[in-house]
Amino acid sequence: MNTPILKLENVNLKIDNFALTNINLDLFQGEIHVIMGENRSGKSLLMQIVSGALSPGSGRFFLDGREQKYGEYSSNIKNDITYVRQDSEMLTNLTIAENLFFNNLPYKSRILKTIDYDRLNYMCRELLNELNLPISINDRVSSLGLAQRQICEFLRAYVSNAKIVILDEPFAALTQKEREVLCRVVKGIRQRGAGIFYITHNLDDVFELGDRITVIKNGRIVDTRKVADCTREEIIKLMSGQYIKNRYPKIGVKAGKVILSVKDLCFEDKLQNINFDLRKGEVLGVTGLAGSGRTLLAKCLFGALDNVKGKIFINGSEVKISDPYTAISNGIALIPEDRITCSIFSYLTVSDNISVSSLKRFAHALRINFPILMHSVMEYVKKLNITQDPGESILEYSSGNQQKAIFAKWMMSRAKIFILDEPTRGLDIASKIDIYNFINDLVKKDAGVIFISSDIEEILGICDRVAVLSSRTLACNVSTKDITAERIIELAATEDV
Amino acid sequence: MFAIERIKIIKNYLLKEHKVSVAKLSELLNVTEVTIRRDLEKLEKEGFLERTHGGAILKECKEEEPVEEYADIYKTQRQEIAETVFHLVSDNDMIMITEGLTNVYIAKKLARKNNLTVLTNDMRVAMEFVGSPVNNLILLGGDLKEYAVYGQLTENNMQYFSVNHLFVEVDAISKQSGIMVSSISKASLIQKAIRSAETVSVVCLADYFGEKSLYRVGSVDIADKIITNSALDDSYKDYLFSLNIQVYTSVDIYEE
Repeated sequence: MNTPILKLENVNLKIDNFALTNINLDLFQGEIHVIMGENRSGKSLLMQIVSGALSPGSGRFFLDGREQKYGEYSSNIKNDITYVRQDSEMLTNLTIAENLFFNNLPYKSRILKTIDYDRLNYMCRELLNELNLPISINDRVSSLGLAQRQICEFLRAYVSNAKIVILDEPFAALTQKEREVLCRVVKGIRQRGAGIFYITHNLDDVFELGDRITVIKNGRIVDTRKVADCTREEIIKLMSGQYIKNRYPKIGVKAGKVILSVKDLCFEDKLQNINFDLRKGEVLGVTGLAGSGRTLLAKCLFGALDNVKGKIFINGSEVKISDPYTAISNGIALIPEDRITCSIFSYLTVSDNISVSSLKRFAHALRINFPILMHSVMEYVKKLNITQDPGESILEYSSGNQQKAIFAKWMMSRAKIFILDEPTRGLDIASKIDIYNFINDLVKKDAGVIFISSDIEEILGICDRVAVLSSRTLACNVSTKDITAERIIELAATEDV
Repeated sequence: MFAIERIKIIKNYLLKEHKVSVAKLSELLNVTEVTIRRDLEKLEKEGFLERTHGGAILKECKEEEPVEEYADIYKTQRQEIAETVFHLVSDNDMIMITEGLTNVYIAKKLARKNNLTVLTNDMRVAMEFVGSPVNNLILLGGDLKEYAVYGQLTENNMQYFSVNHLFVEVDAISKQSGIMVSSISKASLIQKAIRSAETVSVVCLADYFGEKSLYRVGSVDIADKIITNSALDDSYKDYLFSLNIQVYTSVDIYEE
């Protein structure tokens, strides 16, 4: 082979109680180099070093075969690298076309900075045709679902002409169909000649896309191999501990009376004739491809959308849920998919975030009694295993602790119906287990839970029933004992037009 | 709404400290002494406390709690674990419960089930089922050590049974040494019991993870489920999940 465009030798880094040790890694032009490893094995840390954002303790760095000091390396590489992270970094008020070509906008007049929109739209349409993607280019990014945003992020990497592209766990929350689209984009980037570091948890991705694979564990590289020379079993062995069913802590609660009943719910042309019941003490799983309306359904039930048709009954009596306030006063809680923008008050402390929906409980003679409020907050922080100091800003917290604080907020408000939209997405394993156990606490005490997830094993592991959204409606609604993962995938992927 | 919160805190305080002064509560809760007196009056009517000059004391519990030689600091945690186990057992199940204090709390809860068949070597567990004729209890025979029977006799006795679900309480779990207990006869009994059980649940307080005990029962993966309380260290959740063991942390905070 020719010289690698990038090479790291003997890189070491120590942060607190975690260390990257003896890392040797290289990347060739036109190569997809898969990086695999469990959560907190050091993948993202390593990529920060590669991208020039984090200075290591020691190590040698080569660009195109020439050795460079890290300072020099990091300033050189910044122009050549694009790093796509899990959380979206796009300008949400601009259109897709504007976002894609933001660094590279065509001008009618350079001096007046007037953008040539015809040319921009032409470039954008060319690009989408080239990759055969069904995306409407003039939509604002804010109107897109997470999956579509991710596709756009990838497209930005595609048009950026970067020599090195890092894709960090891109498929974490996606469904099969969207993955196919993304795979097409990734292959497009490779064809353009860039080298790609591709971080994933998914074995299928490795064989579909990877040229080489590096497995990393506890901050050390276990092995780097050519994918063509590996079998699935070998990689699993390298990784040790793959994803298996029957390790979800599920409890059995006898379902009680119907707490929420939805009749003929429709929203625009996106959801039609949705009918289901939720009982006390029951966990109802909802799954489907992204874009099938999972998040829309959650928003409809929470009153966050206008023009929702159909009837909603709570404890047998009809309720008009016209806005989130009505939903909350009827005991409905929503934990949205997009934690940072929809779920937390990022400028407030953790204790404020936890108590914000329950202030009535602490109101006394027109003011809030803070000693009692803090007493309650501390109880929740302790029981829900939220590790840090609740006086800190919530933004300082890890995603696991943020999500647990959001759970604390709704548990404290004594909501009765919990709608959880991808509640474990992107969390570490310990936080996931905590959240499954929170759900147990809810159903033990007669709350009803709607659990939306694209992780089918998780759905089968913790839900009593599962409903699959497909072709704008619920394709099934059965006990998880009576359905297999394969059947769910089949139902979700079958679209009646 | 607010009064409910206040009364809850007063109750918790009294349960812990047994006595309290009006001034102390007023300072703690940031409300006037008049309000506190009114709350105490209300609680006195409920029979929860007795008012004294300038304060109140907790009324002795009417139910005769078993007299313990020392105060059990893990009482709440054991009750939380018992609540979780209650939801893991269905009516008509055949289960076995081995010796242990948490297991006694579990038995107390399970006595409310219907048509269970319970096999045990712990007399305290057996006692919990005395007033519950809808369930069947089988007490194993053998040499009595403190509250439970052990030895060859017990193990021979046990071979006549096969159960759906086995609950063993252990004294320590660690990544290096696996599951441990404090006596050889206990380790031996548990090893035999595991062979004839469909599902094995290991009960262990969170504080005993990472601790040591002398006698080893086996590696951690002999457990299908591990039932503990919410203080469990995060590294153990990771570790147990990677061994495909279901981890129940018995969170108890949501209020109906």
